[in-house]
Amino acid sequence: MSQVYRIVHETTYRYDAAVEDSYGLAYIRPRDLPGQRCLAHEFSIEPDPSDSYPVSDIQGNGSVYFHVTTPHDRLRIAGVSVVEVSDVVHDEVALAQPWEGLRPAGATDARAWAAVEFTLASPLIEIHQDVVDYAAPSFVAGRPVGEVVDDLSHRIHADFSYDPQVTTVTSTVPDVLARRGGVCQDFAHLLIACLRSHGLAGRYVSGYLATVPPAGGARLVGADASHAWAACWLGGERWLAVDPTNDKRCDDAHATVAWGRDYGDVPPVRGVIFTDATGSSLEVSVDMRPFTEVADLPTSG
Amino acid sequence: MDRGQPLPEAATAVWRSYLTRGDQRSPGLEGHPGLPPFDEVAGAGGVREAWLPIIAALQRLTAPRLGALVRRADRLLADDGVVYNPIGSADQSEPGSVATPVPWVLDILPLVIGEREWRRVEAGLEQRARLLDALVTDLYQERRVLAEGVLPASLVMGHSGYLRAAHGITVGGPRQLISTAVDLGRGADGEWRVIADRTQAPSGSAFAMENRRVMSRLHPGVPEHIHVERLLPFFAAFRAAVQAAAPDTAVGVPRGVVLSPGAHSETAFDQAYLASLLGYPLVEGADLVMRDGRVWMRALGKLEPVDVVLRRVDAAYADPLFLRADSQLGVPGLVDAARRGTVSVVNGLGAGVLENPGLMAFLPDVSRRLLGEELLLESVRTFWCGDDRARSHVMAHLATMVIRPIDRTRAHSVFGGDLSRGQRDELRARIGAEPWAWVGQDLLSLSRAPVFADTGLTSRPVTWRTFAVAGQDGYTVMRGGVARVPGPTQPSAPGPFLGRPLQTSSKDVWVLAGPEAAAEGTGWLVDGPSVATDAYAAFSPRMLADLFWIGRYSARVEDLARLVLQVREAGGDLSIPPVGWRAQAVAALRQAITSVTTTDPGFRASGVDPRDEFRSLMVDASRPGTLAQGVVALKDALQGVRDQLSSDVWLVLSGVERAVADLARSTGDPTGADVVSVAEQSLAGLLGFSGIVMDTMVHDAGWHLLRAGRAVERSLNVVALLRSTVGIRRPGQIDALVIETVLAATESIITYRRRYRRRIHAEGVLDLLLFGVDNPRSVAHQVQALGEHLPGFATEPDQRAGLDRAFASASEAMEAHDAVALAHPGTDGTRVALDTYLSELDGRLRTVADVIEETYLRGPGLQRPLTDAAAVGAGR
Repeated sequence: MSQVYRIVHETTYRYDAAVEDSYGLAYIRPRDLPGQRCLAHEFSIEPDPSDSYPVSDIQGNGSVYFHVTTPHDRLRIAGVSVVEVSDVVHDEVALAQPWEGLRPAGATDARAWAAVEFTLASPLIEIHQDVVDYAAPSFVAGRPVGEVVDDLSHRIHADFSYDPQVTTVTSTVPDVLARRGGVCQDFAHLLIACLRSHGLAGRYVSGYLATVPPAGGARLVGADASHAWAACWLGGERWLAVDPTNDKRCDDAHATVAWGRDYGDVPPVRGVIFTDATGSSLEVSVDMRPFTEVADLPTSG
Repeated sequence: MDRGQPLPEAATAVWRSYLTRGDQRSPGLEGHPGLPPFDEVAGAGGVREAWLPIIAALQRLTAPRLGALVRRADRLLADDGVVYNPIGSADQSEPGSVATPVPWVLDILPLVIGEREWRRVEAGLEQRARLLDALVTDLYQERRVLAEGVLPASLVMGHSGYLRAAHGITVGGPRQLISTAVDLGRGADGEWRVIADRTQAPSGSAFAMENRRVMSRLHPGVPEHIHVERLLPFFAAFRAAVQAAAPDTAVGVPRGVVLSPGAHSETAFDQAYLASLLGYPLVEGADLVMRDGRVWMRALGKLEPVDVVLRRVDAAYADPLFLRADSQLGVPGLVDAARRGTVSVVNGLGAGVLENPGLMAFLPDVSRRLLGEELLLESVRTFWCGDDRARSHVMAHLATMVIRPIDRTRAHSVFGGDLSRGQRDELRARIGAEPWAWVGQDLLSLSRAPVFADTGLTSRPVTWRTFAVAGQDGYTVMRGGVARVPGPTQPSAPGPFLGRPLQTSSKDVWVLAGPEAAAEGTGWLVDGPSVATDAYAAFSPRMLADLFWIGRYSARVEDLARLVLQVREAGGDLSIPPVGWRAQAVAALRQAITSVTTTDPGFRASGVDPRDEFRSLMVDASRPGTLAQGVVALKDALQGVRDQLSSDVWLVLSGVERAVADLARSTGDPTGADVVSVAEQSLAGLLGFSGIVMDTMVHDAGWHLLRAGRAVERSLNVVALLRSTVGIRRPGQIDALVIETVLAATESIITYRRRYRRRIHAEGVLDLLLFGVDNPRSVAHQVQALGEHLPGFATEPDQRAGLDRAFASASEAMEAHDAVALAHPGTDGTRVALDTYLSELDGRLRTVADVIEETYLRGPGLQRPLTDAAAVGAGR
């Protein structure tokens, strides 16, 4: 099955004094992938930027660099996308491989070298003994990799509470372990840390989750903001994406924007401003619902 | 070991005892068991050939003469203001934390490299630079070495110098790697080996040039006589390499800048001197801006395009948007400009990946794969722990190996032999947890070179930093370099360069020219920039602010020195307190110093010992308003623009600093004669300084701003002095002494006598010091001068309005004032009208300074990171 969505992602900053110079980088546009096509995309910034330029990073993710020079006390970054997402068909053979054989270091797989990137610690995902210990029960010898990943997802979902108050965007894996709670980004980081602690490659995926899931399924957590999940390398170009926040493998309710080693590689919006303002506020909204009317189609792709 | 030549007959005992010293037969270390360390001077049964000319030239060196040379070397370096800000003495991540500069130390004897030996080393270094260039090019483009398994991916990807954001960025010209530095050490077998590659932002080439300048003055005629290769051609090649890296879109001569982390960074001297040797402006991140798709330099309210950024800021800090968000040293958007190809950043942002010592284990294979050549210059034998067999070797030989993290930002290197059993086990566990992050290396038993210590020559382990820059075909290697030895006070430990805090001395490296080169003459040209500075204006708000404050501080220190001299003179010997009316006059004058310098309570404090207070005013750099603090602030501002100024300013300033430091160390002279001496030396120094400013500085916008700063400061000082002295009318004799001292301190006493004969009265002083346009020390004259200098930097008409208004207001205050009316005292003696007037004038003058700062000296606003702290996860 495939599903077409219209995704509206708006980020608004408000400042208590004028900002004269604002530089930014936004990962907003869903990628084109096997099983996912971005049919249309419109990106807008208010005030109008004096300069903007598309950037493609080392993982092939697309982002936009922009520079606003009009003095402003409000900056609005909006992306509207129409995306067709197919339900994921899992490669059962790949999922049935014992996890030990999927360590990229020393693997014979021709693409293993590129996956090594995702086995190493990264700025927000340090691998401490606590993580090794937490992950260990899932890594039973010879267990099929698909089961390992599903089990990690179950356990994280069961052991950690969804609580936006306990962590921040800069929280690290030890913080999450200590506080036994967090949000989608933290759960993704933790699951990736578990994979890496046992030599597997885990990457961080930033994307969107359908606000109203197809076929009358239950409303999922994390749908009214940017969402994040994890993926485990299965050899070659195959990855198993799993959403520990909702304890399920990713399906046609998930639209992928970008991936990296951790959140820091692909934040939806980051920037640098020059200002005397000391206070600011931020409002983010995401809406992803089935696309029904042609009138919703943005004007450019 | 080289066959030795007999020592020349005339060689002094200093050389004889060096060659026959006992430590030559010390036991060998790991790697070459049984062999003693190689000696740079001694060959079998005599002297190595390359050293004969230098020994012959310096054969008359006796111990006392050596001692004198050491002192002269220190003095010459201090006169050039050469310092090194050691990392570790300040936390670089902590804003406002400042390293304490330590003097750069140069040993008086060079390291000598013979011509044949040099040719071998040069070929090896040239090949290594080509190899590293090929490797860095591949790592950020095709990544063949990774896909083919020539290099393990974890070795590269686990290194913080591997910058993902740099992927796909290229610069113009034939090479991606523009400059490299390589540290060499010579093993017991006599072979030079690579200890470290430096590619992030290689430092030290300008230190090499400075060392050469000093050596040529220490040993006049000697380098010329024995045909030592020159260093200047290297800097010409360097400039050509930078120009060649410019984007194709650059119009005319590419415009380069040297991007520095600031005057307090580790190698600030090297950065500034390199900038002047290359003829590029020295800038900091805030001086540059990315706008409309390219990088510009802020200059006098305009933007000047920049084509090449010679980067001395570590890549991770170079762009707070794409890289470290907490960096205040970078330029937001620089990565994007580099990616678009509108600016070339050199070395490239990803070049730091090459500093990984783990690569050394693989370079022979990489060389075969990328160059099709065998590696000429060996590295220190290196075992990468990510490889199982190599790891077993390291674990088994931990006690005799040097253990290094592949990434020196993550841990220190250690010599296993220095560790306890427990520490070794701990280290084994760390290696076991992240084997890919560690290497083991053989400990090189470094060669020994002669160093002067105490009364004679002693031997010290030596390393040699070499430099190379990209050329059209291959690389140009500097024919020289910087050698380093442990400082005289350091023990000669087995691993002297293992990242432990270590004080080192440097040595100049003399490469002897071959017969052909010697025949055509090496043209021993040493001084100054090799090229003219680029004609385009290099005036960012930060540089202009430094120049403005140089003007203000230089006038402040000079005026204060004069005032202190005259007030001390009025009070006489400090050990004999004045009495009667004189005591009142002296107290009033001393309190005037406190007012002018705003050092309250100062002389107003009850029971203050004038000796202590005078001394504090001279030496206490931590107390705002003192002479010492003014000198420190002046030096700070000078550091920020050191590429713009004649090096003579350091000569002048070091004299003042020495005087202040001497007084601070002395126990004190009760008469205050020592305070007088410091004030006199400061005055002499500052007069020399203004002479340099007048005679040697180009009359450009920066000069006008400096002069404007002096004029503002001078007028403010006169106003403050008058307020605190003539503000009250005192009985006749007291006022006579006070006013006479004020006139002397403002250098106006001769003019005054000519005009008013001997009669001392307030009206005359006010007339002369406030309104006497002909008197160069009057406020009116300074305001007039200010008016003349404003158009020199305020060139943009649309920015002039505020400044014009402020200046008109100050200028107006100078007109149509009646000195007699101002001097009229009230019944209690206070001159209310005068005080009101001076207070108003002070305000107007300060407004001019404020408008200048606001309009021309203010950088961009405060830089802050923008996160989407609420963006991921619902309702954060």
